[in-house]
Amino acid sequence: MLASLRSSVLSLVRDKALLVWALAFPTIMTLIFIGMFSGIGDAYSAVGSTLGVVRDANYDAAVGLDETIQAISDPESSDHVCDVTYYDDAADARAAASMGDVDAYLTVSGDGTPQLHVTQASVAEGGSLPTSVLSEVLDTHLHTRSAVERVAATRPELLANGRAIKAFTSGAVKTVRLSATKNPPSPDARYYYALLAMAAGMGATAGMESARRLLPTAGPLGARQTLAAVPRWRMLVGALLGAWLCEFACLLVAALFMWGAAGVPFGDNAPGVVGAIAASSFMACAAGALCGTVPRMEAGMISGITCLLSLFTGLYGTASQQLADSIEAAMPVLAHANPLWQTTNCFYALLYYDTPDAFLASCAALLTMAVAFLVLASLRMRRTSYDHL
Amino acid sequence: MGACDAVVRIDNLVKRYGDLVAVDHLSLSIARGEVFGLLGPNGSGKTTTINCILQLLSYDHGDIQLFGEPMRPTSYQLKRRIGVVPQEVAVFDELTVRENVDSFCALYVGDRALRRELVNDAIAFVGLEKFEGFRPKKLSGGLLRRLNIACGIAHRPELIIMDEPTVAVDPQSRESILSGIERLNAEGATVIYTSHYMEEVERLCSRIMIMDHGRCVASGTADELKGMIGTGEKISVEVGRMDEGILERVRSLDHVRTAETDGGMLRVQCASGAHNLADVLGVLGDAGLAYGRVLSEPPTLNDVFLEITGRALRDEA
Amino acid sequence: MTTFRTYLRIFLSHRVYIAIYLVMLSLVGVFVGLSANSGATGEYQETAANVAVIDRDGSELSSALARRVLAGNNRVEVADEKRAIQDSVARDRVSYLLVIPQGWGEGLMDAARQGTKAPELETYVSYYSGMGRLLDIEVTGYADGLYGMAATLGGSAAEVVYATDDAWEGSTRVDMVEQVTSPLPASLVTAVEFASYPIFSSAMVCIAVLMSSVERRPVRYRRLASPEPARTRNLALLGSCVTIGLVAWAWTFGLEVLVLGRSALASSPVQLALVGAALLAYALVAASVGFLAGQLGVSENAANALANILGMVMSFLGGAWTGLSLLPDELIAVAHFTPSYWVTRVVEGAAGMGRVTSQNVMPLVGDIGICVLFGIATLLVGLVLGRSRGRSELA
Repeated sequence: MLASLRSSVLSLVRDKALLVWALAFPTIMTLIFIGMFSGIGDAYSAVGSTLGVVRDANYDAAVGLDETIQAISDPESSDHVCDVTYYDDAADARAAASMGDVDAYLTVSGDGTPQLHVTQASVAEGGSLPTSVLSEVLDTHLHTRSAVERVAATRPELLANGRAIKAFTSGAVKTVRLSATKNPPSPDARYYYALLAMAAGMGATAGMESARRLLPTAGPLGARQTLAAVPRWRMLVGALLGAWLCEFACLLVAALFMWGAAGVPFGDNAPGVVGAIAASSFMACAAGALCGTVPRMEAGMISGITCLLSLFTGLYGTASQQLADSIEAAMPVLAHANPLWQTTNCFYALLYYDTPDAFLASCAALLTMAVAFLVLASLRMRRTSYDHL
Repeated sequence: MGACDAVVRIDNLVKRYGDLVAVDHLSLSIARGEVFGLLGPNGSGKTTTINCILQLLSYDHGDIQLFGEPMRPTSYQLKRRIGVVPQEVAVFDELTVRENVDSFCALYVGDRALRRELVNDAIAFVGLEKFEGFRPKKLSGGLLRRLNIACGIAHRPELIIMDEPTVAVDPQSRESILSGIERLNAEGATVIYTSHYMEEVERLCSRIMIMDHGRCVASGTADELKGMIGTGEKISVEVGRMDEGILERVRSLDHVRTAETDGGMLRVQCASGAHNLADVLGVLGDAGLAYGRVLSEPPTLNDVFLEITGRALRDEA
Repeated sequence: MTTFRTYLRIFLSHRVYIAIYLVMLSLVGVFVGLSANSGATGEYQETAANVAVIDRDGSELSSALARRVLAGNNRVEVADEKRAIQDSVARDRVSYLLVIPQGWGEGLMDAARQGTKAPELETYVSYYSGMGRLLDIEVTGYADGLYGMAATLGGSAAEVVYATDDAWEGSTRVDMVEQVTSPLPASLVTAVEFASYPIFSSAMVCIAVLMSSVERRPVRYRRLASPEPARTRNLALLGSCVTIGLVAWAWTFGLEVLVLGRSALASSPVQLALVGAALLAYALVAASVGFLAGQLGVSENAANALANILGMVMSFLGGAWTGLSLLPDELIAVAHFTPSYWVTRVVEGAAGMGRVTSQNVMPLVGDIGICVLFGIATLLVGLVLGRSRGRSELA
C-alpha cells in the first residue's frame, strides 16, 4: 500500500497536471482576483455620479430644491452622492451630457417637478444605482415639500413659525446598521471560495489518473499492476491516498496564498478550514476514481464538468451568482447535490455562522458523496477486471 | 548493374550528431526489383541512413541519388515514387481505417476517382476489408501493422522503405505481411527492408547489408554472407555418457572448432565449407560408443549476424 | 484540400471537447446573459433592490413603512431567525433587510407628540452597501414623513398614514437622454463579454488537440516523407485553425444573437456588427494562440489546462466578470496587453453608442484592429517556431 501511495505521489508530482490545476490555477486566478477586487469594494458602495443642474427660473422657484442639491453635493458631507455642475439652459446641459461630461442632468418643469435626464453611457457603465439614489433624494424632497404644503393648507401657523418644516426635516427617525454574521459580508469571499471549489474539482484528474493506472484495461501498466501480488483494493487505497495527499497539499497552499496574499477571510477556525479542504479534496479524488473506471472519460471531460458545476457556485461573476441563488431558492436539492456547492458552503459556513452545524452538514455531505463515488468506483472496477480476464 | 538501373545510390554518406558518427562513409547501391535487407544492431545507423535517403535529416557529407536523380528535401517528384512504412504505427487515431489510407494516399495522388480505386486495392491487399470503418484503437496489433503498411503502399510506390514492419505481430499476420511484400516485389517494387528477424530477411531479401557503427560491415546474398564467416554446420549427437578421451579425439578432428558434452548431448561446432558429420560419427563408432539422435544444422543468418557484430550486449550507453 | 479535410475530420472527431468547451460554455454564457438585468433598451429603469422587512411591531405605522419600502423593490421573505438573516445578508440575497422593532409605531407617535427622537429602525445591509444607502434614504424619508405628520397634523395612526401616503404620491421623472439608435440589450452585452471564455478555450483546446494529433512523431514522419510540399501542409493547418476559430465564433455569437439579440438585428445593426466583428477578431486570436501551443508541442492535458486558465484570465482582464470601469488602473494597464480588453472596449462602446457616426464607429474599428494585431503577432511567433523546428527534430 505504501509503495503504491509512493508511486502515485511521485507520478502526480512529476506529471505536473495536478500541480497546474490545483495549485498554479488558483494561484494565478487569485492574483487576478486581487487586482479585480481592489476596485470592486468601492463599486459596491459607490453611488457617486456627476450631475448637471439647469439653473433657470423654474429651478430657482422650486422651494428647498437648491438646498437639497447642495446638501448632497457637499464633498465633506456623509450625504455626498454627486458632484454638481450648473448650466444656464437645457441645451448646454444636454450638450455636456452627450459629451460625457456629466452622467445626468436635472431640469425643473413649470409646476416645480424635477426631471432627471440620464445618459445611456453612464447607465451602461455604472448601472442605474447612482441615478436611483439621485432620484430617491429628489423624491424625498418632492414628497416632503408636498407634505409641508398639505400641513400649511390646514394649519398655516405651523408653516409660519417654521415648525412644519422642522418636523419633517429634523431627521427624527434614524436607522441603525447591525451585523448579522460572525464576520462582515465580503463580496470577494464568494469568488475565492468558488475558485477553491473549482480547483478541487479540477484536481479530480489526479484521482482519475491514479485509479486508471490500476485498471487492467487501460494498458500494459494497468495490466502489470493488476498482476501484482498485492490485493487490488490495497493498491487502490494506496493510489487514492496518494492522490488525495497531493491534492490536499496543493489546495492547502492555494488557500494559504489566498489568505496571505489576497487577505481572503476564512474566519477564525483554522482547523475547520483545513478540514474543509481535506473533505473537498477527498470528494474530488473519489469522483476522479469513479471517472477513471469509465474508459471513455478524458481529463478534458472532468475540467468541462467542473466548469459547468462552477457556474452554480457563482464563479463567473454576479450574473452567475444570481443564477446560482435562484436555483438554490427554487430547487435546493439540486443545488445541494453539486459537490462544488458543498465545498463553497463549507468555507462559507465557517466564515459567517456562529454555530458549526452548517459546516458539519456540508462536510458530511462531501464525505457521503465521496463514499458513494468510491463504492461505485469499486463496483465498476470489479466488473472491468472480470470482463477483461 | 549499371548506374542507371540503381533505384538508390549512396556515395560516401556521413552523418554526425556532435561527436557521434551515426553514419560513417557509407556507400551502397540498390538495383530495381531488389529486396534489399538492411541489418544491424540497435543504434547501428539503419534508421539514420533511411532518414537521410528520405531527406528527413540533413547530413554532413555524401551524395544520395534516387532513380538516377539527386534527392533533395523538395524533390517532390521523387518522393511521389516512394512509399514509407515507418517502424512506429503512423496513423491518425481519430480516423477510420479507410479514412486513414485515403488521407495518406491523398498526399501522393490528387485524383479522387483513381484514389478510391487505389485505397480499395490497398485495403484488400492487407486484408482489412472487414475493418474499413474501424478506428485504429479498436484494431489488434497485427491489424494495426497491416493498416500501417496499407497507408504506405496505397499509392503504388516504386520504392518501398519498410522499417521493421513486423514487430509484435502474430505468426498469421506476419505471414500475410511477408507474402504481401513478396507480391509487391513481384509486381515490380523495389523494397528496402530492415528487421531484427533473420529468418524474414533470409526469406525476403535478394541482397543483405549488415551495418554496425554507421559502417557497412558485410553485404551480399544470404549464402555469400554465410560463406564469409568461420562458422559452419553445428552437429548434435545424443551420446549418454562419454569419457574425456573420446571428446579429445573429436576435438582433434580437422574442421572441428569446439566440442563439448552437456547433459548427454555432444555438441560440435565446425568450420565452414566441409561436411564433417561422417568424421564425427566415425570417431564415435571407432570408440564403440552407442549414440541416439543425430542433428546437423547449417549456419544461419543469425550466426552470421552475431559473429560479425559480436555477442556483446548493445544499447548500453 | 484533402489535408485540410483530414484536419477537419480530426477536429470533428474530438466531440467531447467541442461539446464541453464550445456548446456547454457558450450555453453558460447565454444563461449568464439571461440572468443579467435585461432592461428594455432606451427606457430608464429604476434600480430594484432585493429587500426584506421583518415587522416585529405589526402596527399601522410599521405596516405602512413596510409597504412603502417594498413597493418598487423585489420583496424577499426572510424568517425572523438569526440563521435566515445571516444567510440572506451574507449571500446578498437581500441587499437591505429592515427590522421594525416591537413598539416602534407607538414610540414614534409618542416621540412626535413630545418632539423627541423616534425609536431607531434596525437594518442589515449586505456588502452591496450602495444599495443600502439608497434604501436608507427611502426608509428614513418616509419615516420622517410619518413623524412630521404626527408632529404637525396629529390624529390617529391611520390618519397619519393616510396623510403621509397622500403626500408621498408622485415622483421625479427620469428619462434617458434621447438616442437616435437604440443600443444593445444588456443581456446580450453580458453574454458577449462572457463569450471571450468559451470562444478562447474551445478554439484553443481544439486546435492544440488537433495539432498534437497531426504532429505526433510517426505521423509527422510519414507526412514529411511524402511529396506534399511544406507550404501545402502549413496552409492546410492554418486553414483548419481559422476554420475552428470561425466555428467557435459563429456558434457562440450566433447563439447569443439568436437567443438574446434578435431585436438588435433590426434596431441597431451597426452596433451588433461591431460586436460581431470584435468577437470574430478575438476568435482568430484564440485560433492563433492554439496554433502557437500546437507548434510548441503542448500535450493534450496541458493544452486543456492552458485553454481554461488563459480563457479565464482573458475574460477577467477583458472585464467580462466585472466591468472594466471597476478595475483598478494598474490592472487596466496590464489588460491593455490582452486582446479581450480591446474586444470589451468595442462591446461597451457599441452598447453605449447613441448615434452611429463615423466619429463614433472609427475608434471601435481601431480597437478591433488592435485585437487583430494580437492575432497576427501570435501567428508569426507560431510560424517562426514551426520553421525553426523543421527537420532537425526527427533526429
